[in-house]
Amino acid sequence: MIEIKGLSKSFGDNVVLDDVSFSVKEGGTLALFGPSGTGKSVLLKHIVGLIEPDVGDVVVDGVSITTANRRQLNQVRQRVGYVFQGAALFDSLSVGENIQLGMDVDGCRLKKQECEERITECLNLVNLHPSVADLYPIELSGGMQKRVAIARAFAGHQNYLLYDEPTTGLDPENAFIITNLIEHLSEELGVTSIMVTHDLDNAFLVADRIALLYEGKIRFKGPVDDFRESEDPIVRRFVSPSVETINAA
Amino acid sequence: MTENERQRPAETSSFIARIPAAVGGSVITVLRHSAGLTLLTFRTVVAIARPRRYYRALMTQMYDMGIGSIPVVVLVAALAGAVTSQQSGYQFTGTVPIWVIGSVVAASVLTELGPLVTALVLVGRIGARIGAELGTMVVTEQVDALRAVGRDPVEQLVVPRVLAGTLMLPPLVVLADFVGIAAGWFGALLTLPITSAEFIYGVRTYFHDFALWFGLIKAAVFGATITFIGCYVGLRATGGAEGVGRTTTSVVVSGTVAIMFWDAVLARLLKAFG
Repeated sequence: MIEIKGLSKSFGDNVVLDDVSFSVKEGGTLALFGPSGTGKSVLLKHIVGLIEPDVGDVVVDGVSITTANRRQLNQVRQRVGYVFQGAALFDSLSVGENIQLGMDVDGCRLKKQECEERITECLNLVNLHPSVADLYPIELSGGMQKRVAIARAFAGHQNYLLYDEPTTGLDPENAFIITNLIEHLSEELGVTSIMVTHDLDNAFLVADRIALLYEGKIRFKGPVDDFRESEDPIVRRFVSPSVETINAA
Repeated sequence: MTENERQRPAETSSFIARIPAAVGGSVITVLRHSAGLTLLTFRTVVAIARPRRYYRALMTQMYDMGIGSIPVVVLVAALAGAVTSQQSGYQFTGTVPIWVIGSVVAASVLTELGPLVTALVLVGRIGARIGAELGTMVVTEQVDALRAVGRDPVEQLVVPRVLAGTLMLPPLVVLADFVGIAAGWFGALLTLPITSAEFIYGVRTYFHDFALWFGLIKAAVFGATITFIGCYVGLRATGGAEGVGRTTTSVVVSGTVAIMFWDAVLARLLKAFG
């Protein structure tokens, strides 16, 4: 379970997160939704200790990220796969080597044969041909890079997958492929996923729960159907933006 | 009293009022960088103890920095050696024995030109590349991705580069020394009234082991400095392409200043021991 406890973070005078608390139980997909610039990615980075909070804590499977030592933090990071917004593949490594990085902190401890089999298995799961393993990230399209980044994130049999705006920058067809892939992986691998997005249609397609981050606070958290039917005016503003805009005018 | 005269005292007092803030800001910046450099040095030294995790990257970096730098080092060392022999020939002909040109070329190349010119060339070739490479990795979240998969960026990125720079600059300087002296010799033979025997006599008269060690110690320090500054500045990159551009400039400027600083300090230190 991932628990966010009273998390606050500011950059200079800009308060990004203000006493945010919620928990994510195992199983299913939570969409962390909110307008651009509300701190969704910042919140996600706190979960794997890439950013330290000003106040509050993140607890992953009972391990406090803020007080964990290096070994404990690495153990948590082995259980949590992270898909970055821009894929963040290592240019100097081949696709196979990029995926291998996600397998183990000390590199692939498996035998070479087993390691290659796992890379092929991961590529198959993200619908890429095994021959892609020998290519370099620069030789791939944006959509393929995102798929490799997803493969790297679950290559080590991680329990949790964190997606930071996985469809941003992709054309509608590739965005649809990635969305389907996330949904498929969640079912196939049985992992708990948290997907940051500002695309509500995408969130409705993939997630079974939604958390709305608004002005640094969690404004709503619950099942997708409850979100759709919520009477909260802020939630309504996102669910039916055109109607609200007309009413406001 | 004119309008300008009335404004002047206010502007002066405003300028004076800003001085403490500016000085304070500079002091804080210096302290922040000192702390950052100390911390990175400590983490680098600690991470060196785990070679299994970076030896592949170390081999790649050693090849890139060593083999990849040979053409430019040979070219620049040859030019430096030839220019030194020409200049000393112009200065000394008719005033001191002509074989002194051999001594001047050997002394200049072994103690200064070899290490210094090689280091300054590599500030541009290696330091700037490391700064741009790591800066790009920071702004494209590749460094965060490394941390997210449980890898230490210092271990994976800094240690192989700093070790490779420290290990590869001395052999490059030996090459530069050899090429520089050879170019000075050929240059002198072609344009000055000197024989090979006289030039070699001049070189042998000056040459002593310590001059070579002096240059090699300087080379190792320069190699560590160039790569360390490249890594430190690169890992602090912010922004996008503009930020990476600023990082590259910063690496070249601070690397050049640091090399000149070390050159001055080591000249005193090593001569005291020599």
